Amino acid sequence: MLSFIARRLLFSVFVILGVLTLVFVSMHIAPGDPIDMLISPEAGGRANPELIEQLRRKYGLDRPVPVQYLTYLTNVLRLDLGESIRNGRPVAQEVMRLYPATFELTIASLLVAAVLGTLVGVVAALNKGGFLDHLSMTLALLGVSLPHFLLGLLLMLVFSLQLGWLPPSGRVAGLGWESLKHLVMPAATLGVATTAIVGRLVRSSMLDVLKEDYVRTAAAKGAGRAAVVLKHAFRNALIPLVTVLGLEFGVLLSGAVIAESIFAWPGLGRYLILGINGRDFPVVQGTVIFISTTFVLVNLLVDLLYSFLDPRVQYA
Amino acid sequence: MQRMNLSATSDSLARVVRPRTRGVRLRSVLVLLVLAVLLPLAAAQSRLVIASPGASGAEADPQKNSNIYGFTVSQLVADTLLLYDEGDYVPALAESWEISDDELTYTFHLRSGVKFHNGVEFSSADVKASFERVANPDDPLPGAGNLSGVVAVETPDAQTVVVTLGEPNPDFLLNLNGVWIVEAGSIVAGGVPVGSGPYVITEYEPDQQIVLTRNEGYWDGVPNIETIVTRNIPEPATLVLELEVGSVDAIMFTPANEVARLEAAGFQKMAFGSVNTAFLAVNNATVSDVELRRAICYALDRDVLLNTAYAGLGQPELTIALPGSWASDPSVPGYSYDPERAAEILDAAGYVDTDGDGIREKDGRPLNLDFQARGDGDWLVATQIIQQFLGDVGIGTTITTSERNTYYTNVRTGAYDIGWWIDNAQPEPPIYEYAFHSAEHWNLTQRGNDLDALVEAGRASADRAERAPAYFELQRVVYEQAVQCPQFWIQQAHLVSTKLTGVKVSSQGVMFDARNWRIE
Amino acid sequence: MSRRLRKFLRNPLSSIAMLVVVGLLVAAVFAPQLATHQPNRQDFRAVLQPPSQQHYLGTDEIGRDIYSRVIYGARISVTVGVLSVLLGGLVGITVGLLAGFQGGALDSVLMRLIDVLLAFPGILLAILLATALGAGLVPVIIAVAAYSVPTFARVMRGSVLAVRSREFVEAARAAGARNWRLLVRHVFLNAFSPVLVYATLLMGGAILTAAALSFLGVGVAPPAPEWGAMISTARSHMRQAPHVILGPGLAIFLTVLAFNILGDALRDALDPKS
Repeated sequence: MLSFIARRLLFSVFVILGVLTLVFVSMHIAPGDPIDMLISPEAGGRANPELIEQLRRKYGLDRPVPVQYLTYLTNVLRLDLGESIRNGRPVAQEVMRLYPATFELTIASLLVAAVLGTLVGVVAALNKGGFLDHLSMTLALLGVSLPHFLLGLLLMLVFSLQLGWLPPSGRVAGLGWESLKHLVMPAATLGVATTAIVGRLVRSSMLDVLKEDYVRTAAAKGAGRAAVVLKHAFRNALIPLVTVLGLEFGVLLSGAVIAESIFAWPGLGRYLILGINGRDFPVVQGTVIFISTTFVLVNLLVDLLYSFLDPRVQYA
Repeated sequence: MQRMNLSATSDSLARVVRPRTRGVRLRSVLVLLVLAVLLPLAAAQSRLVIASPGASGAEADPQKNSNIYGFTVSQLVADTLLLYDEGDYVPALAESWEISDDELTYTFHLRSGVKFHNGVEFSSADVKASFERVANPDDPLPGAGNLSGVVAVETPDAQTVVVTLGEPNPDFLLNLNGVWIVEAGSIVAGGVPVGSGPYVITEYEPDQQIVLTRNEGYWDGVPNIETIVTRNIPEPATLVLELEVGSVDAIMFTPANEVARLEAAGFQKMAFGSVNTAFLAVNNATVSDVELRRAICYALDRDVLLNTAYAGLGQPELTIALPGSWASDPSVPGYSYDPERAAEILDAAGYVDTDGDGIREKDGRPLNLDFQARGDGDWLVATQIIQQFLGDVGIGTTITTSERNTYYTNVRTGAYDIGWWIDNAQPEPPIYEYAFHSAEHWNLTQRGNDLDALVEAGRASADRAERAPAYFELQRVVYEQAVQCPQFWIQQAHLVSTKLTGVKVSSQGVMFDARNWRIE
Repeated sequence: MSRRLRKFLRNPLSSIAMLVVVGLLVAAVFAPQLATHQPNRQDFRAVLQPPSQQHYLGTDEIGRDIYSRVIYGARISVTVGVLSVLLGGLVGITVGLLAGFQGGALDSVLMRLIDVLLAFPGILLAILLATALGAGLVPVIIAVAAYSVPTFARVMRGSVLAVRSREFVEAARAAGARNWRLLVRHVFLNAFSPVLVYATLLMGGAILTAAALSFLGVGVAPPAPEWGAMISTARSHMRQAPHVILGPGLAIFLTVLAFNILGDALRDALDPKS
C-alpha cells in the first residue's frame, strides 16, 4: 500500500513536470507580447523603446527562452511560481487567495450534479423502458447540450431580471443566505452538465440491484422495498460514482473558466483567462500547474478510496 | 452586493409591524429579531457601486494602473499636481505654476495644509519622491512615459517644486494628469504607497472589488458619498443586467448597442471622447502601393460603419485632425465613401478581375489582404463590415481573429496588412499625431521614420501658431499617402442611474471630481 | 448484431435523434440549395430584423440572414466534429495499440505522456492549444482532438491487454504470422463498442468545445457561420432583439442533444450485460 502511494506520487511528479513543460511551450509559441498589455492603447499608453527595454529586463523577457524555461523550472522546484507581469503580485499567493472561491463553486456544482443525478437515475430505473425513464434521462441531458455561457445568461435573464430572485453576479464570501444566493446560478450552470453522467450511473446500478434475489426476498418479507433497493443500489454505485466524481472534479475545475467569467465569480478560472489574454506567462503557468496538481492528487485519493470503500480491492 | 437604502428599509419595517391580531408574543419576538437585523442597516450609508467590464481590476497603487477604470480608482485615492478639465488646467495639489520662456523650467507652488491618509503633511519632497519612483530606470512603472524628458526635479523649499525638461514639451502639464503624488515615507517603506485622495481603500480584492471609504480630512472638503464600491464584471451582458436590476449604479464603457435601450429605460448617458480615434490601420510596408491604399480608404462607408457597429456614437473623421481645431487644415479633404472612385483607381493601377470571381488580380496574383481582427464585440462586427466594403470593390480579405493582446501585438509588430483600430489618445493636441513617430510603441504604419520630423516639429513649442504648420503638413501627408483610413472620432459612454449626480468624465473616460459626487 | 440494432431502433428517442443527425448531414451537404440568402452577405438596411417570410429566423447585427447562416453552419459543425474525432481516434488508437502490443519501456513512456494530457482536465488543454496555435478551424480541430486522444488510447490499450491474456493468443502465436491479423481483429472487435460510443458522444462535445473557444475569442475565424461564434455575438444583441439567439441556440442544442442521446442509446444497445 505504502509503496503503491510512493510510486504513484513519483509518477505524479513526472506528470506535473510534463504539464509544466507543455504549458510553458504553448504559452511561448503563442503570438502576443505581455508588454503590450501594460502600455495599452485603450488607455492612451505611450512609451519609447528605452522604456520597453527596461520593462522587458524587469520581467526577464529579454533572456533566451530556454534560459527562461530553466529558470522557471528551478523556481517551481523551490515552490516559487513567480510574479504576475500585469500587477507584480506573487502568483502562488494569488492562486491560494482565489482557490477557495473556485473550490466552493466546484463542490457546489458536484453537489447539484449528485442530487439531480440521483433523482433522475432513481426515477428512470423505477420506470425502466417507460415514458418517465426516457423523459428523465433526456432532461438530464439538456444541461450538457447548451454552451455554458448561454445557459448562464439565460438563467440570469430568468432568475435575476424577470423574477428578481437571485443577484446576477459576484460572490459573497462565507456561509449565509447572501452567499448562497450568489452561489446558486453559477453552481447550477456548471453542475447540470455532470447531472447526466451521475444519473446514468445511478440508473444502471439501480437496475442491477432490482434484479437481485435478495431484493425480491426483502420485498417478500415486507421490508420497505424502496429502502432496500436504495441502500444496495448506492453500495453498488459507490465506486463508479467516486471515480466519476473524481474525474468530473477536474472537468468542473476547468469549466469554471467560463462560468466564472459570466458570473463575475472571483476564482482561478477568471485569473487564468486574464493571464492567457495578457500573455502573463507566470500566471498561466502557475494556475495550470496548480489545477493539474490538484486534479492528479484528487484522482490519487480516489484510487486510495477504493480499498476503503471495498476491501476486496488490492493494490499491486 | 445588496444595496439597502433608507426607504427600502422603512418599507419592510412597516410590513412587519402592521399585523397585530393573534400570537402577539411570538410576533413581537419576531419583530424584535427582524429589527435587530434591520436596524444596523437603517443607519445605512450613502453608497455608490461602479462596475467596469474589464476583467482586470484596478491596482491599489494609483501609479500601477494601466486602464481607464483603474485611473478612476487612482483618482479616488490620490491626487495629481493639477487636473485637465475641458481644455483647462485646474489646480489640485499645485495651487499655481509658472513656465519659463524657453519652456524648459516648470515651477509649481504647492498647496499647504494637505495631509496624506497616514496623517503626514504634504510637501515638495513627496512630489520629488513620487516622480523618481515613476521614472525609476531599474523599475519603471507603466506611467513612466509621462515623465520622459524630465532631466531634474528640485525642491528649493517645502512648498515649491522646480521641474527641468531636456527639451520643450507642450503636453507636459497634460502628462502630469497621469502622475499621482504619494507620501515619500510610504514609498521607502514599500507596499502600497499612501495618497491624499478623497477616498481611502478599506477592502481590496484584486480583480473583483474595491471598497473605498471617504476621507473625512480631504483638503477640498468632505466628500458627499460615504462609501464607493468598484466592481469588475468581465461579461458585458452581465454588466448591463446588473445596472438594470439596480445592484450597480454606474457601468463604465457600456456596449454601444445597448446605450440607446438603456437610455430609453431611464439611465443617464455620460458620453466621452474627443481625440479617441477609430481608423483602419494599414501596413504601409506590405501594402506598399499608395494607389491601393487610397482605393481602400475610398471603399469604406464610415456612416454605415458608425451606425451599424457603434450605434452612431461618434463624429465622422475625414482627416487625423479634429475639424475646426487649431491643428486642422480645412483644405485637406480626406477620403469619403466613393466605391466608383476606388474601382477607377484600382483599374488604373492594374488591379483587374480577370477570372470573374469578383476579386481583382495583378500580375496573375489575386488581391488578397491579411485582415487581422480582435475576436470580440464591436471589433469583430466592424471588421466584418469592412470586409464587405472591400469585397464590393474587388479587394479580397482573409480575416484572422485573436484575442485582444495577440491582436495588438500582431498589428504593432507588422504581422498584418490591415486591421481595425481604436486609440483612446490624449485630448491634446487636437490631432492624432503621436503614433506616427517611429519611436512610439503604438506606431502601426511600418513606414520607417519619414514622419518623425513632423511629429517632433509639432511638439517643439507650446505656441500653437508655431506648431500648427507642422500638424497641417502631417495631416496632408497622411492623407496623400493614405497612411491609414481615418473613420470617426469615436465616443463611448458610461451609463449611470439618475440618482447619481456631479460626476465629471474626462475625454478618455476617467470619472473624476469624486469629492462633489452625490447619490440620493 | 441485428438484435442489438433492433433494440437500438426500438428506442423512440434514438430514432428522433437519428433524424436530427440525418437532418444535420442533409443541411451540411445541401446548404447551397436549402439556404435562402448568401450566408455572409450583409444588408445594412435590414439589421436585427425579426423573423419574417423573407428571413425565416430574422437577421443579425449586420443584416445577414440567420436561417442561411445556421444551415451553412452545419458544415462547420460537421467538419469540426468528424475531423476531430477522426484525428483524435487515429492518434489515440495508434498510441493504444503500440503501447499494448510493445509493452515494456515504450508502453511506460507512451502512457506517461497520455497521463500528462489527462492531467489537463476538461477544456483546459483546448484553451491552451487554441491560444498557442492561433484562432481558426484547424486549431479548434486539433484542440478537440488532443482532448480525446487519452480516452481512445486507454480503450485500445485495455482491449489489447484483455485479448492478449486469453489463451488463444498463445495458439495464434504458435501458428505464425497469419494469426496476428486475427489477434488485431479481436482487439478491434473488443474495443468496437466503447470506441463507437465515445466517438458519438465526442461529436457533441467537439461542437460545444468549439463554441466555448469562440466565446473566449479563440474560435473559428469570421465570417464563417460557426454556431458557437454566432451565439457568442448574439448574446450582446439578444436584449434588443431576442430572436438572434434562437436559430444558432436551437441548432447547437438539438445537435448536441441528439449526439448525446445516440451515444446513450448505443451504450445500452451494445452493453454485453443486456
